[in-house]
Amino acid sequence: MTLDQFKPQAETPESFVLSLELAGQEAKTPRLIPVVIRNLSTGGVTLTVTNPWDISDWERYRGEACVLRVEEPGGGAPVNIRATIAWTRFGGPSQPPLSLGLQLIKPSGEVMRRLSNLLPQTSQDIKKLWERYDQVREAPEKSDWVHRCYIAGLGLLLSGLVLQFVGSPGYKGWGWVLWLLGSLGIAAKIARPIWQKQPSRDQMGRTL
Amino acid sequence: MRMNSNRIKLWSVGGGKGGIGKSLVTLGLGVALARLGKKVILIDGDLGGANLHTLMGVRYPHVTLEHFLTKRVSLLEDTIIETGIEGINLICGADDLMGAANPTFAQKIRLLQQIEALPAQYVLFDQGAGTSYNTLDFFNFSKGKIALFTSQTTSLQNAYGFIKSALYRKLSRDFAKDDEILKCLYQGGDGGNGNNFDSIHDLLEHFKTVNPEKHARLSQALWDFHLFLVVNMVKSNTDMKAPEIIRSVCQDFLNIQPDLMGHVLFDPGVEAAINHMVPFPLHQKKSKAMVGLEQIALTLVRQSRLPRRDSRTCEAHEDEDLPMDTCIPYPSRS
Repeated sequence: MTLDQFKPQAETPESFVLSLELAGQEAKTPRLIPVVIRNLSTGGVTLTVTNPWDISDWERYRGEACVLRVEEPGGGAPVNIRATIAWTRFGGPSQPPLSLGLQLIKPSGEVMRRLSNLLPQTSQDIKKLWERYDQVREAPEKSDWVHRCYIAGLGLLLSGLVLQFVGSPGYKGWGWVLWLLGSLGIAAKIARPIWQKQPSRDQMGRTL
Repeated sequence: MRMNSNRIKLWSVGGGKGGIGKSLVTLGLGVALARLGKKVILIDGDLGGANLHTLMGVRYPHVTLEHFLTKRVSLLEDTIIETGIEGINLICGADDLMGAANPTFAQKIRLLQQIEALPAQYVLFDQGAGTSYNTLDFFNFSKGKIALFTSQTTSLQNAYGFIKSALYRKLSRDFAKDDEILKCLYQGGDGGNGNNFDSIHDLLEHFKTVNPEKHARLSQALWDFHLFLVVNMVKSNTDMKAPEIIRSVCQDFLNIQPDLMGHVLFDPGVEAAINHMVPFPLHQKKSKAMVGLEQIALTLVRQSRLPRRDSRTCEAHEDEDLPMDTCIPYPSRS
């Protein structure tokens, strides 16, 4: 018996319809080109066009804007995903006729999740791994506030010093206040690595 | 020295991917344990490209695992090398000569049996990269299992693959005579009866209704596969979230709930220590990486005293010097 535990899902979900709307169409009802999703990367998607022959020169669409439309025949509203065509490639005899590489424009986590659900051969656990990875990457960095405190502190400190040495005697008191607040902001930045070095016991054995 | 059979003595450090710092973490953990007054033996389990001894500053090991595997030395204990660090001894890995990289089943059993008899309180087993059966078997044999990874995408993917492979390997050995479970594990069930298992959770649910006895055995096997996560080379808070990703996927698809043992900060001083062939904890007075490893060592000592199997009582041992209130019960499982 082989270790074939990374068993992919066998079928493409048929309840979804994926189509591509190319930019620059003059007709009132733009033509939608049926496509099939093949792969996902960070912010990118690879599609195949099963019948590319209606359009004579695909090369000219490289770099052009387009809209990827995901429809749920069950009745849900279609989702339009803005993108640009990054590359086009015609396949060989045993390959799909045309492959397209799309760069999605600021795709949200939900968009990526929907698209990953359309992938025909994906191990569910690996899919979940990348979904969680995207979620972690999207979550705001906790240390952002430390950096902001540092910048603000630096500004306050400099302002305070300027007021103390250049300002009139009436403003010197304010100079002290700004100087003190600024020092606190910088101190937060300095103290942060010390907290990081010694994680609290609460963090041990728990999901962060 | 009083040895208690209920304590976890052998801890393996694995992680699938090469270059994530398995040997360095093994070394640092060994030093941290030695600083706690423990007697430690480090084993380089990389039978193809051993270099733990190099990190320890040993250039020409006169005896290695290869001597034991090829029966030039009969006792594993006789392959122990003294090191310059008090409390730490070393068993060097092999360099793929004489077929040592592919030990037979009998050789593996002989090695594993003698590891338990080694004269130390803790044996740290540094596993090689990859998911070969040897690596998985050595990892699974260890009562203490540490999966090491970094926050890099490739490491996350390999760490999960390693954990999954190790678990499937364990289950395939535990249920070697049970065709039904094996079929469900590897083929996702029988297409004819409509069963399709995407995860071990699905498998458990299936046996819960059709065969409670098998469900209980599977649950016990999963329970026994107790795993700890350590994230290495942490540079930011986002890196510290890496275990959350692994833990979540393990929980959903493998029905195991690994515990986070700790994290090790990225330490640029480690590279300099390697180049000087000095054990990195000794190279600099205050190593950033050692701060995390000392915390992990404390956790390891506590976890080593946990009861195994169904016993839920916490036992203290005379040869331990940590207070009783440090005993932590197994986490409850969903």
